[in-house]
Amino acid sequence: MNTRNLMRCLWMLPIALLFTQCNKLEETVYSQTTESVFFASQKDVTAALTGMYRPRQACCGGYGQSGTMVLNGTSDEGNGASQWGDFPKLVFTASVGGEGEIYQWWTSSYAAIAGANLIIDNEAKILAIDNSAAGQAFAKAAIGEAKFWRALNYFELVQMYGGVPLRTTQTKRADQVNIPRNTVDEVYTQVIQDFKDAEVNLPATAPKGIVKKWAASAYLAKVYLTRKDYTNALAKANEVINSGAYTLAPTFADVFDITKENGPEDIFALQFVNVDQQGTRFASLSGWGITSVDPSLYPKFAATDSRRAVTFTDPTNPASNQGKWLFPGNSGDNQPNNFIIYRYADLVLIKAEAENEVSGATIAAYTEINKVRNRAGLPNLTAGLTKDQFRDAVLNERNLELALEQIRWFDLKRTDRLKSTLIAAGRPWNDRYFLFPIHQIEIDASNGVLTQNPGY
Amino acid sequence: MFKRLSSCFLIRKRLTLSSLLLFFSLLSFAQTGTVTGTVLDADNKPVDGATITVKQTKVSVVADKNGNFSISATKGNTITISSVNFQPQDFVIGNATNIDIRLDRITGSLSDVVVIGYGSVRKKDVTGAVTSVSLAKIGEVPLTSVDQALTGRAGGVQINQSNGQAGAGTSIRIRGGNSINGTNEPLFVVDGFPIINDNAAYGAGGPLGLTNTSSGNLGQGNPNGALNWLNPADIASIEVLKDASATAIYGSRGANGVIIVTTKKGRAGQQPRINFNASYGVSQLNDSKIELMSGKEYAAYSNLYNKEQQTPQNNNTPPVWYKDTTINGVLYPIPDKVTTNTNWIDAIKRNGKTQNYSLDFSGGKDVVYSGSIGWLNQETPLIGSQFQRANFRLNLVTNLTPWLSLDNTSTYSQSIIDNSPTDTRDVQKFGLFEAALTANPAETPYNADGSLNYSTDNIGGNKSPKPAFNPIALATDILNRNTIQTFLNNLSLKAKIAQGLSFELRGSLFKNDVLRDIYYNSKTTFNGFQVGGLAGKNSNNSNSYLVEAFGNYNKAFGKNLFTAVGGYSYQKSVYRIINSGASNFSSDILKNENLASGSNQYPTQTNRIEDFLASYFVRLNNVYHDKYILTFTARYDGSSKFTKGNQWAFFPSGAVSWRISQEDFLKDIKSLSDLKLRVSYGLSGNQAVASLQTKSLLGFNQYPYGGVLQTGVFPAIFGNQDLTWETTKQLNIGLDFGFWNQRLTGSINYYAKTTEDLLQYLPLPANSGYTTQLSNVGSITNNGIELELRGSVINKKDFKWDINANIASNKNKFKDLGQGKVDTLPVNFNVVGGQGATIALIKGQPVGLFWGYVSDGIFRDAAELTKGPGIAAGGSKVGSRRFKDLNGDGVINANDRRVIGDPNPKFVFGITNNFSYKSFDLNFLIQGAIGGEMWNFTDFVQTRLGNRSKAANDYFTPSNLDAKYPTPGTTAGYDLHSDFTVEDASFVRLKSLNLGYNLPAGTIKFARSIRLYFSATNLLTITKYNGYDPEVNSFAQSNLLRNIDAMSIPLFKTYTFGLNVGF
Repeated sequence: MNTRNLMRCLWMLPIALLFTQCNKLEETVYSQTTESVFFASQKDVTAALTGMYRPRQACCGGYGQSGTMVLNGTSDEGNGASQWGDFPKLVFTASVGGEGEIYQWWTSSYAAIAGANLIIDNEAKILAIDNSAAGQAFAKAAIGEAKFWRALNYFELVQMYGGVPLRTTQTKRADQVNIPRNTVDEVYTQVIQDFKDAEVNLPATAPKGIVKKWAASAYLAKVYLTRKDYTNALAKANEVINSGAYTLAPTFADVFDITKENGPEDIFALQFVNVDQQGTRFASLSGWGITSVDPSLYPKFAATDSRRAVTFTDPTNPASNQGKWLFPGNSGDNQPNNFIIYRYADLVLIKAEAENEVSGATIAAYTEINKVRNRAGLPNLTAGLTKDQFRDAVLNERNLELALEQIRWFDLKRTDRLKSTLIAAGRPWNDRYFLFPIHQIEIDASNGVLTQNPGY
Repeated sequence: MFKRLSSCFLIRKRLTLSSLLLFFSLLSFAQTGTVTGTVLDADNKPVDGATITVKQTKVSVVADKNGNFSISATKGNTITISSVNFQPQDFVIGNATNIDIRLDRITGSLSDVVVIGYGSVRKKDVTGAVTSVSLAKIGEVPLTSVDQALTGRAGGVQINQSNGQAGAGTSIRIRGGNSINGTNEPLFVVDGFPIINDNAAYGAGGPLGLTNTSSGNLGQGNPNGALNWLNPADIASIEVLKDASATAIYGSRGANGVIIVTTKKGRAGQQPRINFNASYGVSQLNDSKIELMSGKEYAAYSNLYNKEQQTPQNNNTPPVWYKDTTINGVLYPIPDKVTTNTNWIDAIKRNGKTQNYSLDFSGGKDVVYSGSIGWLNQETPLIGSQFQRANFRLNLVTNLTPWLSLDNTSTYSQSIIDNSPTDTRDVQKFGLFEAALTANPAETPYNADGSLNYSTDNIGGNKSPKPAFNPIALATDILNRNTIQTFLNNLSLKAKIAQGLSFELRGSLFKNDVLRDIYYNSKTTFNGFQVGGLAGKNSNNSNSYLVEAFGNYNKAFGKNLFTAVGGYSYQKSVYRIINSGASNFSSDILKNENLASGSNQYPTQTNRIEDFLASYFVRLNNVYHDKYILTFTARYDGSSKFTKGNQWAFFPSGAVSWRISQEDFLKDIKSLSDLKLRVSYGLSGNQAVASLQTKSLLGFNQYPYGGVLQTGVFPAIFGNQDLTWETTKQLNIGLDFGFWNQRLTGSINYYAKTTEDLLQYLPLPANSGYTTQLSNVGSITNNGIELELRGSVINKKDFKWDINANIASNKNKFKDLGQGKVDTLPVNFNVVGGQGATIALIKGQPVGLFWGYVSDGIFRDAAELTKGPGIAAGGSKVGSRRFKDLNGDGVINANDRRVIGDPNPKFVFGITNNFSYKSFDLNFLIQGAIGGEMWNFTDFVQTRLGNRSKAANDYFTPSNLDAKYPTPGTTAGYDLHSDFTVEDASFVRLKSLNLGYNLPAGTIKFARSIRLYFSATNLLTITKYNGYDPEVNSFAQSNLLRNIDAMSIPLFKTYTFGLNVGF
């Protein structure tokens, strides 16, 4: 055997091997999706729109459980104290045992924002999917919807937590992970800009349950009102009302009737269905006793007020629970009732309030508040009220009309009545309650880049 | 290039020519002729200077230094080949004129060869910490799994079986755990193929991180052992590589140690040998330790419990009183009149049976072969639990040409494992053992009509004293079967290129397919009842392909003996999962064989990942003057799991050793036959990172967009592009010694390991859109000492006594948590009853410390209660448990917790004694762990009403003020985990005892040898532990959760009789 020849031959084997394999160390993603290959079709865009809503609908951190506990429990409507000890203490503490609802609300809001940013970051790609007029309209509507959703989340965050870190793109690199807080004004500027962009991009009409341009306008009215910019609030409210895009449902009961969901009054509703993990938890929360309605709410309704029977499970029992989101025969976790975040009656009352602030208790202001009162079976509001009296009347009407809809806390705060109302209601008060705490987990994870709200 | 090709062609031509010549020579060879051959060791290295004698003619020659010889002999003659350090061997001359003879080394000798990965070295030249586990003795007893061969037999190797379930997995720790989130299991190299002993990949979860369950509450069995497929009878040798010098050749996978398993090979020139082995064993549940309450006692306890629980918070249960009350026509008498006394453990146990057969054969002329067929059927002592395995192996070696040999090892195995999904960690699952331990003893297993006695009213509350679901139904009415098919094939070509230079090219496939069949009966099981029958089929496949090319070189330069190994390796692994499930079936008959017939379909889940590992490796070894040995080993690994720039890592190690006994100044000490000092230092890595961790991924969710439920996507995972390997630096200082001509040998090793860049999930500010990210932070150290001794106490012709002992101690410490300023990090986990317990990671302390309250007896009277401290949440009363107020704030809350136990033993040991007297032999293994503590949740679980151990009869009543247990049903502090349930888990166990009798040679005509044996395992245990078994580990391979007994099934006692016949 000629070993020289042999060696020559054998050496070829590993060399050939090396060349054929080339040290391929490329990792392929098979069963998940990455952003780089996504947004290739309109279906992809719809999937991203679908995905961005889920965090706020999920059990923890969404409007169902967390919203009820955090926003109702801390206003004068709800009574979170029963069985849970001092509920305000549980909410208004930076390091509540475990994560706590206040952290989950924060987390799910930012998850929703990240979902919206995924779409907004890919604007160019989405616009390039289909160059036809319909395709461009679809793409613009998607961008508009994402901006609408982002603005909505920041609008709530800024009211609850103050100036929060503003993220207008996704976190992609390590140096983007940890950013400081923005000012309240900076957040509002972004919120208004996003709603304006949404207003431009969204279509004037949309299928049931999907957001349209007028929802963005309606939100702008609400943002301006919160910022006490009554002129703009009034203008935006008028735009929406004059458009005829929304109307009040014939009866108050219709608004919450499961068979009449996504009705004419819904400006924006989070969708729920009767499928595992896709339903609301309102009824079962009542079972826990933590969203018990405060007994002081019931007497606020006149006996003739048709809203009382809908607002409470037992119309004759002042101590009964909320009755707005009930699905007959189901006391578990998967009730299909949608949660209406913004409805036309709210906007109508915003117009009444803004009109009063701009021009006093005018006929126009009366017209709007009486639309709501009359539907509830109440007579017109006493004529001749002063501006201050009318302001009180609107706020009272909002309390009754929008009871337990997670609106009261925001109303009290923006009208500077949070402290006085809660003290009057006999609730414990500390000035730190004007803002919710940023959970200690978040502060710790930021290594101190995030500062805590005052008093925590 | 063309020139090379043509020279290859030239060789082929010559090959044809030479085979023709060979053919003619065969024809001409009939009478006396010249037989040429090569004497090789088991590793195919030439044996220098062997003597070859023809028995018939007494002609004798000596082989040259390359092992080559030439002798004249006739077909049918027997030649005897002998050499120092080797077992002499006889060979009958057949037709072949050119033969390879492979000799076995005599064990214990310094010339023993130790397999160390991509080659082997003489024992005297080893520079790393390597323990060889001899299977010579062990192999004669019927083992069912490979870990049994290791238990107690290698210093610094701690083996825990999760529980006594059929096919249960084991956890193996070599020199302590290095990683928190990654695997701590050593790398197994089976016939050259690297396999990670990760049970998660074999039934419980996948490498994808997905549990192997479909949607729906299918439950999850305890993970099956990852090495179940190996038949211990097929194993020729096991080597445990412990220090960096030894493991660095496996680079990024070496940090947890490497266990090299070599299956049996045939021997050239050996006459065909056939061995038949049959054994039959019985096994018993080792349940004598806990005596449960009787029916009477339980009824009394239950009345007290219900009385105490009648508070507004517990209004869900109209409790059943044993007060001569009649409910639904059933009379519940007062406790004293209760006559039923069911032992539910008895109801689910049986005598286990194990049958183990194997037929193996080996031999070799032109083709050297070794193969086996094996069949194991293990019916455990729990009804419905069974492990069956069929094994096939065929290893072939043949010389294609005088310089090129082909070596193929091939193993196929199919295991079928049936178990009740007894994962007691989740309250939803109602594990079998938990159910039996807590079931009401005042109820009978069967109704009068023979049907199972249970009450579906109990879903969600104790509305009936009947069992919620009958433990017997959990054992027999849940189908939970894993069918595991494993195929391993290594094909290699070895070429002798020149004197001392060889080259090997190998291609291998390892295939592992797991099919899990699940069905929960719609009437008798909890999960099935809820949804009208719950069925699933889950398939988990992994294929791994390996190509390796490496060369071996050894040459003597003067007093230097130089050896080198170097090569390239490329491995691709593909994992696939398909999970499907359905529920709500019209009948239970079809079980899970027709998922489409279920009216509720779960979405089928599928997943696929691939990973690649490319490596260059080298080992250089130089022995100077037989005294000074230098070794350098390194591997350069590239993995697809990391981003470009981080993909490649270098794992070098170096070692020196000094054979002091060769020095002149020790030459005079005749009793000292060997003394060697070894020092090594190096790096190795942990392959812990899962695939796709560096990639940011979109996840899928669901939301009714526009009112229509549909699938959405969202940014789910924020990949960490900077991820890298966990790296372990290890220093090892060792001393090997031998006395009286190696009659007593041993080694002592000290090691210090530091593992850095631990993979941990770090919290991110949630406003980034993500809450955690896998990062490399923190470090752990493991320091320890190991002593191994092997001695021949008596070595007479008729009577021999050997002892093989080892003892090891390891100190594990968190050097840096890597969690910023946090230096104590509690980690919650779920145990039985859904009650979260906590372990703590503390800087400067070992991993996995138990974290909880300190119990301080019982509030005996109002005065003591007033003094406090009460539970912060309120509710403490006379008769409830009192805890120590560690921070002195007057109440008991989460701040009153501290370390209450340490699962890490101070030392572990094993002693094997081997006796032989004439034809009898006896060996037994005593094994133990001293100093570790166990968290015994067997006792804690009764936060809800259920049967308890008799010890709990010592509960508080106004007339039993000094009771150990609080008032039955008391809620204050009932869910606080305290040191009350932490116990010393030290144990000494007679792990195995084997007695054998070999029929004297020649007594039987038809057989070469006959051996009869008896074997027993887990025969005797000495421990103070009050649970069933101090050796179980409910969380199997987890490094955080060690020594936690969440109602795990104890290990079994087995008694086996067997017969081994050789032909």
